[in-house]
Amino acid sequence: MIELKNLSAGYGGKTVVKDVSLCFPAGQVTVLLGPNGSGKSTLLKASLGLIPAGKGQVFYDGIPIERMNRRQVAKAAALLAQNRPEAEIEAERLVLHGRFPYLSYPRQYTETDRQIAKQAMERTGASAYAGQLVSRLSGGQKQSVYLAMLLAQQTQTVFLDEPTAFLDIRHQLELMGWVKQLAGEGRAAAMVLHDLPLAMEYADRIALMEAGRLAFLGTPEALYESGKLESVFGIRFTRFVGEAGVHYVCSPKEETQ
Amino acid sequence: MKTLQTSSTPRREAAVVLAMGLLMLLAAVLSLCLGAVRLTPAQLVQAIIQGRSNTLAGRIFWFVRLPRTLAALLTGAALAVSGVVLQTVLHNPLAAPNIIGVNAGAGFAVAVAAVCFPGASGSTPWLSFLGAMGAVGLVLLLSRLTGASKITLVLGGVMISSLFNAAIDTLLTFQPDALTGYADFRVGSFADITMARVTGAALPIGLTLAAAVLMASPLEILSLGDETAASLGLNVRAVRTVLLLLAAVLAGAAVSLAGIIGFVGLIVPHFVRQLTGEKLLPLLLSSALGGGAFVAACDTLARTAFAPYELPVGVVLSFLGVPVFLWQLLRSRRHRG
Repeated sequence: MIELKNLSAGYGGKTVVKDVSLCFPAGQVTVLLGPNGSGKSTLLKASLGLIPAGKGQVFYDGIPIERMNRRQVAKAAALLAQNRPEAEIEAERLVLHGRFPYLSYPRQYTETDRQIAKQAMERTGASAYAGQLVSRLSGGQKQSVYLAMLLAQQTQTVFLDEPTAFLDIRHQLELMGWVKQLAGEGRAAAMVLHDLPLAMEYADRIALMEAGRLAFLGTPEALYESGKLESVFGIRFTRFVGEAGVHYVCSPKEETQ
Repeated sequence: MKTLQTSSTPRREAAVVLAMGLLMLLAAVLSLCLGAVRLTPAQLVQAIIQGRSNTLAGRIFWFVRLPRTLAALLTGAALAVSGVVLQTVLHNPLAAPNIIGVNAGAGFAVAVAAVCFPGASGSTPWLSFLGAMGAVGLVLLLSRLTGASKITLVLGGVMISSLFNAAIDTLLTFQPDALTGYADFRVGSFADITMARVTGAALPIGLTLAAAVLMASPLEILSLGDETAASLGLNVRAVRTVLLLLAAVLAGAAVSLAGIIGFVGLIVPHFVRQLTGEKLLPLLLSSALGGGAFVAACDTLARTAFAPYELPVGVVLSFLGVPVFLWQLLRSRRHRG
């Protein structure tokens, strides 16, 4: 399990994440919520050691991350990055690169790697466009390819940085279902989301960030009861109980006053 | 040539590499045979078998054509591979060796030499190489001081290049006589190449080409973006610096052989990419072979088209390269449209 203890991190002397203690337990989907600039993505990067911790520490199964090399980290935690240049390679090749942390010299992928990549593609439904260039796929198809890559990395923890951005609603729901499935298999999933209702519906735990600090950590219900979402986002957040279950609706604060 | 629409299978990639290899072989043979005195293939074979014999064909082959052909092949391969590496590392399709200060640094060193030691043109290769390395070193330092991002690298390259170019202009303003020595370097030519110069550059070019090919896999991971590459366990900053240095040595060594040769590093990778996609191993190999073929062919044309006059090879590269490049751009646009 990945655990952050009093972690502060940032870029070039500017502290973005301040004194956050948090863990990502196996079998649960932890969603990071918070306004723009509240430090969600920075927290993910610091958890992966992509930016160094200013203060505090990151532990992987009790081992401080600075004692691990990059490959060891990459075998323990994978990231679906938010910023990705157009990949001008075939989908199956991209998925195969999920095996990169396991390569030893001369860096040739083995038959086992190919099998793992193939299975990952079958699972996310990316097999249909295995031979196509990733840059020519639609948003949903691309996401399934990158998810397969994440799966091929075979890590205990998966981090997803705004994975639903640019996806239509069906693909968003598909993605959330898929993440939920991963957690069901005993993995830890941590994701940055901007869609509050989606987060409330699918998260096991929500970590609410405000100005770099952890403002709340708990179940969606507890978060709703706390009223923190309304104060942090400056919106009105309403719960409805309908035939299909509990629904949440966001609306601007002004309208309701 | 078919624009890459769907997948490029390993067999297709191997075919592209093979085709480029044959193209290079053809360009090399033409370059060895054609010139002021035309050698037949039979004479060529005879010259090779007889070694450094005192026949006319033997002397032409060993002392004129072979060094020149090898220089063209090495220069083309080095510039094209340097271009592939830079474009991938900087995620910028317009990146070429000049963007990290290679040409300006080398030019500055040559201009200084032309002013200070007007007779000593023999030291040009070394000086230009050192100048190129110095400029790239400054660019890397500047980028490291400002956060080592891709954009600071490109901006640093533009700044340092401008500074060196201004220094060159200043030198030539005060010492117009030095212009002659510098002008030869600026247009790029293989006219006074010797075997000694070729062997001097062959080792660094050969080693760095091999190193670039060996780094195809990390380079391909780097092309997926910094965050993804780092999350896959790649030391992004270290790998990027090593690759930039490789690209700089390749381009610096090429400039030391031929002077400043325009846009081989831009056009050849762009062309080859249409055939191989971004899969780095075939892209690097095909670019090396294709780059060698292109420069050797252009040099052959440069010295035969208006014989006995010889055009600077850089001029032929531009006149031949630009239309081909534009044709290909229009063609790929039509395919997309």
